Amino acid sequence: MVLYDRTNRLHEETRLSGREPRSVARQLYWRAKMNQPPQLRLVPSQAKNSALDPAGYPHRVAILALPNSDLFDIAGPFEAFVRAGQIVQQQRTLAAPFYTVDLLTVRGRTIPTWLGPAFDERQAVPVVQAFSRYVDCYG
Amino acid sequence: LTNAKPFLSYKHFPDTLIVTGRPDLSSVGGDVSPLKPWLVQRSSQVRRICSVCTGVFCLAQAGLLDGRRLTTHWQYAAELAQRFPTIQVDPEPVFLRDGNVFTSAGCTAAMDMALALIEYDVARPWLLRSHAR
Repeated sequence: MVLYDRTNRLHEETRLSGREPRSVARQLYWRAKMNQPPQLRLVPSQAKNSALDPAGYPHRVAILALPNSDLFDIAGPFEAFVRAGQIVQQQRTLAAPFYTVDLLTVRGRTIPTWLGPAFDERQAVPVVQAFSRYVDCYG
Repeated sequence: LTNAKPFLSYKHFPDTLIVTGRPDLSSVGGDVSPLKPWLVQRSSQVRRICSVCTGVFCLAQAGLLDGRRLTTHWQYAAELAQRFPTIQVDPEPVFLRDGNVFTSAGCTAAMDMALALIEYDVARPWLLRSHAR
């Protein structure tokens, strides 16, 4: 039924355009080829406000964390957006990550979380320790 | 996680604004008052505004959710409905979308909502362009 409708429509288009009618099969072949999933071409957004350019990138995500938020409520979306931004950048060979994620605080630069650990801008990179045995927990 | 910035010094225009809440609701009201003007201003500039768990209280107090249908952590749904009668609270879904407002329950639900937003950003333009050809 779909093929029948499409064939009729192609005949009608050909008649209205006044061009030399090509074979319907050939036209259908080209139409099908054109319908192949295209490669999405993303261009860096020139807009100052990325919200005004949803097709561009990077998309800027701001996470406003109230003091004593749950750790996972912050870390979950943060991780999801950062990782997705890196994956999309890699898969589509973008110049920058697809997402830029900013963490906002109500005051200061430290976000105390409900269970104790705090996100702190001034925190240094932790020392990496090498273990020769299995580690069953990290404390 | 590093590079946290005070919200008042944040000069960028985010595409997506996510507000996370805190379990101690009793003291929420005192803290969000300085946030209200900023939230109201930014809500008109962002493409979508989201809340995680009790972050919805913050948005509700700023008056951004009147008449909306939304969700939160099931433990706080009744209190939310009681404090903000103009809001339709549905405690069942993991996350809900009403227009450009996305709300989610707590913990792992936030990640589900984030993944849905990512899917919308990444997959939907591709599908639309594919369909348009």
